Amino acid sequence: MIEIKNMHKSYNENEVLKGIGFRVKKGEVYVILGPSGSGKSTLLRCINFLEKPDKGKIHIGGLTVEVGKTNRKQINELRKRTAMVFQHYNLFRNKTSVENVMEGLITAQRMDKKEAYEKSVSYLEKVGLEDRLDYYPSQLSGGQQQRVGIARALALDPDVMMFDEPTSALDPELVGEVLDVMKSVARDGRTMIVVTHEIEFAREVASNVIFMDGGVIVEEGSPSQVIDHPQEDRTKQFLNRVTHSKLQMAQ
Amino acid sequence: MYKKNRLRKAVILFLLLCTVLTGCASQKNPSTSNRSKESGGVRKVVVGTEGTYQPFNYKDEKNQLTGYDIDVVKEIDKRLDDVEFGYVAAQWDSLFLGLESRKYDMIADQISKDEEREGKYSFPGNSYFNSVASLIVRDNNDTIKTMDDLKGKKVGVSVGTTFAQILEKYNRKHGSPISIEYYEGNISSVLQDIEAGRLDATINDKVIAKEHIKELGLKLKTTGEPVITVPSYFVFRKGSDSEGLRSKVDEALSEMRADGTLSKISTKWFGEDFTAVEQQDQQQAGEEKKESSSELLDVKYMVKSFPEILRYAPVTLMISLVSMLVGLIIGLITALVKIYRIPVLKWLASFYVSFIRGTPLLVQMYLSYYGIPKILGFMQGHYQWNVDVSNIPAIVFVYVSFSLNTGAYLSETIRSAIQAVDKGQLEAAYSVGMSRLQAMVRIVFPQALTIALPNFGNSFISLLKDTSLAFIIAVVDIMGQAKIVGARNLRFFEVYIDSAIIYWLICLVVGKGVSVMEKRLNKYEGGMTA
Repeated sequence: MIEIKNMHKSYNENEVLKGIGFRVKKGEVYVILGPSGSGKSTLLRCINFLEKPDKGKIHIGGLTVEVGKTNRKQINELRKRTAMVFQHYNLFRNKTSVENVMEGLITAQRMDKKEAYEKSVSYLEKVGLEDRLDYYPSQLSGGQQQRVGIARALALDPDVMMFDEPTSALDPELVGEVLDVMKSVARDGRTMIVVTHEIEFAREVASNVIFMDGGVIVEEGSPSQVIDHPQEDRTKQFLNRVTHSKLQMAQ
Repeated sequence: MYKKNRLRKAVILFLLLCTVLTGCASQKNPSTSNRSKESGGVRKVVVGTEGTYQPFNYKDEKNQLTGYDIDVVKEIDKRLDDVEFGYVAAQWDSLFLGLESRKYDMIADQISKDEEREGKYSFPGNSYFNSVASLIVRDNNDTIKTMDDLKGKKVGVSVGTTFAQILEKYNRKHGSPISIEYYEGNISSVLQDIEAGRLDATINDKVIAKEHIKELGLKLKTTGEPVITVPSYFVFRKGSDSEGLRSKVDEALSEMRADGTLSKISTKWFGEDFTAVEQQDQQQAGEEKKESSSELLDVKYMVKSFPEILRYAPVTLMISLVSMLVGLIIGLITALVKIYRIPVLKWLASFYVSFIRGTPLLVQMYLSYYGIPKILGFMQGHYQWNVDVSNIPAIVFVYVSFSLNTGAYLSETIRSAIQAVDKGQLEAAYSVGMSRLQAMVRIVFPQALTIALPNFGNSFISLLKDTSLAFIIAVVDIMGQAKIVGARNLRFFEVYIDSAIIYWLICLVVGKGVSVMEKRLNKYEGGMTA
């Protein structure tokens, strides 16, 4: 189980997170929706301390981290319990697909090389890239790179997988293959927090949907509550805009 | 507006400063006369001299060339109505090259006569000075009195001088018992190294040595009987156009010797007469016959010297490699200090980089060579260290100065390369649980290396060429050996061509090596077929 309490983050005068809190149960998929600049990505990046939050409490699988009372070891522990899939994939450019997956296993989890290799191969099989083991990121398409990114996160066996707009940088025809992999990850019962604009994905996969705007949670509930019967005007406007542009794109 | 004004003021001030400085410089150097052969019936003669050879030729407090050599030429100038003399100061080895290439018409620099020189240049009949060469040692040294006492000792001497030839001749005859350390430039570095204990002795002109010992306040003395008495001559180019000048100068010297003017000038400068003609003078000229020719380019000598100079390529490579490796480590540390803005250290790093980039390498080498022993000596006195400063080989100071120099330049390359690595790479590394060190070593550094490699290659090549300065502090590398070999027969041009070829070849190989490495490191940036 993962719980975030009263998370605050400002850049200079600009308050991006104004006390966010939520709780994700084991095996749940949390989808965070919201317009750009609403603080969704910052929220994810604060959970594994890629950005240092100003205030708040993070509780993941028996580890409690209170902002302001952290040390390097705690942050490292926190990062070992989480894994992240990035908008721009962020694969290690100097490593092949299989090496990308192996890196975390060898360094953070101190697994021996052979075992790490076998585990990495099996996760690359899971995302359908068993024939691309020795390719460098520069030799892969965006969709393939992102699937490697997902395999890299999965292999770490984290308490929670965080997806930061995983399909936003992809060409439209490549979005499907990545979403398919994500759905299968969800079916396996992984705990996931997903920041995305893919409403259909949220409707289909999410256990819970959060709508964020202006650094606060505007609305929270099941997909049918938030997506199909939104209560707040801001949510309605956002959904309108998104579905409208989706329709336009489909045409 | 304010800023603009300030900028304009600064520019004006700068321009003013430049004008004033260049104005001063040109005022102080009236000696560099134009070199047109004939102007209004008066022939202008350019005299080349070192200008750092006190008391024979040097610049006084007013930056005017003066000294015994200059006084003698001035006296000749007075006696010759149709010739006007101007003076140019230059380094010893470029004097002869300058004479050959018609930059100078005459050399006045206490030049002695020997067979090779006579083969290439023209000497007047009259000498104008007799220098008495003597051994010079620390003033508490009573064991060295004659040449034979030098066996097994380290003796320093400036490359290409008569004194070097005396030592080389002795070594040829006796099976090289003396270890000769070659120096470049004037006597003072040799003297300072004797006092510092790096050398045991030197041979040099008695007058010169005493003057320097006094001037520098060194605890040294001249000792024993004169090793040799060597007459000094003005030197001219061979050929008919130079012949007239030579005979005119020779005539004037005869006159001056006859009427006692020459002896008077000597007494004025040295308190005694060093101009009397001695018969045994001629004896010193090399007994062994050597080939020497006056062709423009002696290809045979060039080919013969090539392997002799090439033998010192490992020294150059060693200096370059050691300095590059140490420089990389220093550069990396400095870069990290700057990137992570580590308090206090970052100020030191900035100071270090700005100092090294703002001062000439040559100056840094002198600072290292003379400064480090001083500091160590001081520490020794204060902390009872047991380091024998005088036994540190000179190459250590070369390593130190080149490593520090390279490190400063590399630190900027490394810093920008590290910062050029996409920030997402570091975030991804953290996100899979790597520590800061792991992320740096496994992800950031390899990528930064690929970015920096072309610059590293360039730095290495300039370092390789910069090491040609090593001979300044008595380390014999390609360039040093070229100077030593060249000085033997005054075939400097040939040996410089040799060394140019050697440097060029090495750089070609290094360049090739770097591009192969680039290709290998770059494989992950390539396309599908890479």
